[in-house]
Amino acid sequence: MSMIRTENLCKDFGNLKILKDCSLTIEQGEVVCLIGPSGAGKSTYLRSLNYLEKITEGKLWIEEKLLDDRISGVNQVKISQQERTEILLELGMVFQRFNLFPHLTVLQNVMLAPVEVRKMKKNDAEILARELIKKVGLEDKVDVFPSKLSGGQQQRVAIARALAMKPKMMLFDEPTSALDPELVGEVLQVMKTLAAEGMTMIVVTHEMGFAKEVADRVIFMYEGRIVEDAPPEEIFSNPKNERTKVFLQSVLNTN
Amino acid sequence: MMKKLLITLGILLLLALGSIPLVMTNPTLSDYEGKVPSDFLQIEAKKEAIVYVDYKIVSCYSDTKQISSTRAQQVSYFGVAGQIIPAERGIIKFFANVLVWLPSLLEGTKITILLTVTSVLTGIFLSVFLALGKMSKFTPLRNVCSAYIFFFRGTPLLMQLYFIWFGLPALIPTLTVSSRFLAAWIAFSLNSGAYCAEIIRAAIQSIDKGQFEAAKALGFGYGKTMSKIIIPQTYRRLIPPLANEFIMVLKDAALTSIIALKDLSKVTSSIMTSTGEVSVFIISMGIYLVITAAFSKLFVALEKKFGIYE
Repeated sequence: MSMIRTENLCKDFGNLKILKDCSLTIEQGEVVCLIGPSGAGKSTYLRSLNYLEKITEGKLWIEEKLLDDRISGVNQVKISQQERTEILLELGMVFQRFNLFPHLTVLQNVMLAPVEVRKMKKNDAEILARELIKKVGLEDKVDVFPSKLSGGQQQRVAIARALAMKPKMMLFDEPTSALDPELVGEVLQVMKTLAAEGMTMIVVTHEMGFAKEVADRVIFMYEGRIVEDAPPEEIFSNPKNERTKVFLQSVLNTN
Repeated sequence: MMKKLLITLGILLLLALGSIPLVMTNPTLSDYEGKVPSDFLQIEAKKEAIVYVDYKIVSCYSDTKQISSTRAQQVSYFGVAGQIIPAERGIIKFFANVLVWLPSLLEGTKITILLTVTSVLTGIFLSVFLALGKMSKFTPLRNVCSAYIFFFRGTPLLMQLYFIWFGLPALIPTLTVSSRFLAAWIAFSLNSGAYCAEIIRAAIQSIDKGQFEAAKALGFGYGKTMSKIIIPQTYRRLIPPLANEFIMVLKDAALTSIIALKDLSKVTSSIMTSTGEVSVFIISMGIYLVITAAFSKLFVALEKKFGIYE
């Protein structure tokens, strides 16, 4: 079953075309890395999947349910706000800048959405939250406020927070780009564990090592288009597109 | 902590014990009446005001005779430890005056504080809805809230107050406000609501956009996003401008003299007109400063409390 399918997805900001006819299908259990130079539309593509950006044209299916069929920004599919929210709960999101709730402790951050949105009982939510916090290796930080954590720790809490909603799929928007180099590893480690557990993941990243090691497919985007879509061993050793070659050369050389 | 408390209690106990002889010997009203010279008693007056204030440890007595509309004569005494001291001039007169005026000044202070606190609290309550309304995507609601804020910030508070007390009953008799305090509270709350709304709107808009996105990605609707995530983060940022608003309202409460509400300023000016003593202003300003200082302290504590996570 496909988790996500997009067909000719387009996004305009006025005259500026951010996404141009992006078509992509992601199967359950797949780990897909989106790479490309900045401004290629990787983040916008990811964000339009869970409605943080509204698409202008194109179709979007989540778990084979058509959510959007847009023509000039108008949705042809009749779907209530509530129904859309329900479906989007299947997607967990991790942001570049963590976006933890600063006024809540680590435990409260992870518990809040299950209690308020999923209407879970507080006790059950706490058990779940503690389990997830332990999973990301922060069991000694449960009662600490985010401001007292390092970037890597904050990002791990953010992952636990997203997982607490029991999503079927995780979207990572440059999860390690705001981190000091020595903190990148701990976050990637958590993501590898998730991948190994069979979580469907889309990761926008500049970590080529991670893409090589973990991804089932690597997608190269350039100027709003999906230019190449291939398994990592193929894209890194034998890229077909000229743009991909140039990009990988420059990235791998500086690494 | 415990030690500090014990020391404080000890000092209080000593003071209480020490004041027992003072309380026992404190002059009574009849002691004072015996002291008033007979020539003063014989003065014919249009109006006479006798004030006796007993603070248990010290007490004070004053008798003011209004001889004509421009002339008044007064005797005042100050008593402590069985002694009655004539308070004719200088610091002792000032001190006696403070004691005589203090009860009515405190009565006015009570009204001023009550008006300020209730108005600002009601104003804050109103302003949350106004601020959210002004940021709403629903145009009619946004326009109504903007117009409200525009009106109440754009016209003088004095005139709003005047209008509610005098204007409304004349225009629409069913809208007569029954008490002066109520009228003042309505005017100040409506006005304060407009100012606080802009403070709250600014605070909400200063919250990082990523917080809204994280909330949305976790499936929070608008109401829960605001009540559980955004508004709690504004608390600490709200305190300094709200403290400012509070202090402004505290002083603006003096405007209520125009509808003859007996707030601190009104009481002060009546004392001044009836006795001709300008020193009452010094006392009054002192009281204002004490209130401001006390509330500033409270606000600093609140800011600390709400900023615990930073």
